[in-house]
Amino acid sequence: MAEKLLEIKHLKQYFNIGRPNQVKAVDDVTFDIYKGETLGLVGESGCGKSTTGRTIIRLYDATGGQVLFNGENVHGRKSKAELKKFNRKMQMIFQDPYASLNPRMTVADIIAEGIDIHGLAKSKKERMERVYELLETVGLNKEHANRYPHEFSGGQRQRIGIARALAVEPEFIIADEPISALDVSIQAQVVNLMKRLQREKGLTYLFIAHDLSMVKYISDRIGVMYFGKLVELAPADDLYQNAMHPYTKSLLSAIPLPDPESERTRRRIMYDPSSHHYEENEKVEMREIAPGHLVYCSEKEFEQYKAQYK
Amino acid sequence: MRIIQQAIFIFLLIILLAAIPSILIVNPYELNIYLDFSQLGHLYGQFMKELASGSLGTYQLGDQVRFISADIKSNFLISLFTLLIGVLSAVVIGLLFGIFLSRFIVTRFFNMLLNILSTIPDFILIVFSLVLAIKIYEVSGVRVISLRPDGGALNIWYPMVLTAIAPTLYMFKLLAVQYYQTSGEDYIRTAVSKGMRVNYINFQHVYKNIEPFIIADLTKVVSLAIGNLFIIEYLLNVPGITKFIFQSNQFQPITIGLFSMLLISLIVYFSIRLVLYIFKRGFIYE
Repeated sequence: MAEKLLEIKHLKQYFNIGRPNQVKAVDDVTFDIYKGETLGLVGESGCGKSTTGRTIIRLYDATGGQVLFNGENVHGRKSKAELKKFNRKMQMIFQDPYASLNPRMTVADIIAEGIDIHGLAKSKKERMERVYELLETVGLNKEHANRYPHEFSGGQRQRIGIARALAVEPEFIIADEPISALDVSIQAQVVNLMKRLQREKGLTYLFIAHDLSMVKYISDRIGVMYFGKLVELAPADDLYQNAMHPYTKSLLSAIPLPDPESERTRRRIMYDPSSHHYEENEKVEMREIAPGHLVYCSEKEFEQYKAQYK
Repeated sequence: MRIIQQAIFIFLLIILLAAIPSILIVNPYELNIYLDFSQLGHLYGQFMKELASGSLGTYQLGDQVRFISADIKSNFLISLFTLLIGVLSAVVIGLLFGIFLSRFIVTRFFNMLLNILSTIPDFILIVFSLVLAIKIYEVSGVRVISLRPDGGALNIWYPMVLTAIAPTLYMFKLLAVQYYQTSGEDYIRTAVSKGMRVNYINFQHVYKNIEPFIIADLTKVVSLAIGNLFIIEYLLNVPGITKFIFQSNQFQPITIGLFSMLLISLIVYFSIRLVLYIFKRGFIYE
């Protein structure tokens, strides 16, 4: 059994608490991420995927629950030194490569900012050497160091974003839809780069996306979110072959296939949350229907899913 | 080439504007107003002749006729300092409360106050401020302003404050909106997620991206301050450069006054640019 790197326990992130427009963006979400794996997080827009990622990295203060990184609570009171250590180990790559790089800084300064803050280079020369090395790691070259972000294409910018994340030698990277804003031809390059880096550096990813085919390709396990809840969590292949929750089935039925014949006959499954017919006080929670395959369901549904599971 | 074209255009515009009071003729018998352009040649010729003779000419101050050259230095300096302090205060207060202190609750109240003030026209604010100064004197006996031109600091500090009001309101609103917009960008989130301190983010990321907007709107801020300076120097009897423009309708002092005002605005503009440059070199990581 792989070692747990991150444990998310009953994580809650509410906005506008106590007001009529209160939003439960993340509502009692629990899952673990193991060292060296990629956990894909999918779901429709607004379901709370990005908020989950941002809360994990402390961009938001969690309303409730715990985020344990290497057994230490991320959201607890921390000294500056502890925070610095934590910030170095966990990095984030954002969706929009155009907005995630400071347009007024050179690529070298963008990448080296983390190096400077954590004092990872002893001299200017060492700093620049590290920048050149990182640029080469992500498929760029040292001539790019003195340019500004607007001089790059979307794919190149995302590579710069990855180099920036790698600069502080993190253990865990939250990739918040890192390929959504990219051209389809570039998406594969970026995903392959991330996979290569994972192999070489032993990185752990939380890969947030809504492109299910790409998520299947990169992820070891996949979590499906709906309205702030995690509704299914399973190994990637298992989720695609044995989707149990009706929302997961609905999501999978939406994947277009590059085959005109099957596209003509493809039937979209619509998800209706009221189809569960939960009774009042009925306990609905994540239950393990097969090893590593968890579904958000009632006791009654649990029995049904177990019977259906092939 | 473009700068030369602009300079020629500004020169022509100023001498045309300065001539308007002299060529604008009111005929009380036929009850009409007309422009007598036939005088233009004479006015411009006279102006050039005065300059060529090494004199700036004279101007009318009440019953006296005074040499412009005798008063221009002190008037120029008073207007320059009033405008410079006004615009500098606007930029400093705008930067402080719009960016660097914007996270504090007190700033929100300050923001609210400035938002309320910005709904009141500049002229009304200036008049109200004068009334306030008089009320302070009535209630406490403390004289906060003096309308005597030889009143020293008492005559000058209040105009400086009043000159700063409109540009400060404008600058603060501009920076507050820009700060709000910039702080939601992903590169700011990245910086936050890297654990950078708020001050560091404000200096290195936010200010760097807001600075072009400050520079772009600096001309607007200076022009707002000049607009107010005209009103303030007139109402508070400040012996500034506008004395040459308002005290008579003679072509010579108005031209000299307008050129001086242009020079003052250029000095103020470049001084603020210099201050921003020094600030950037000193505090911002390059």
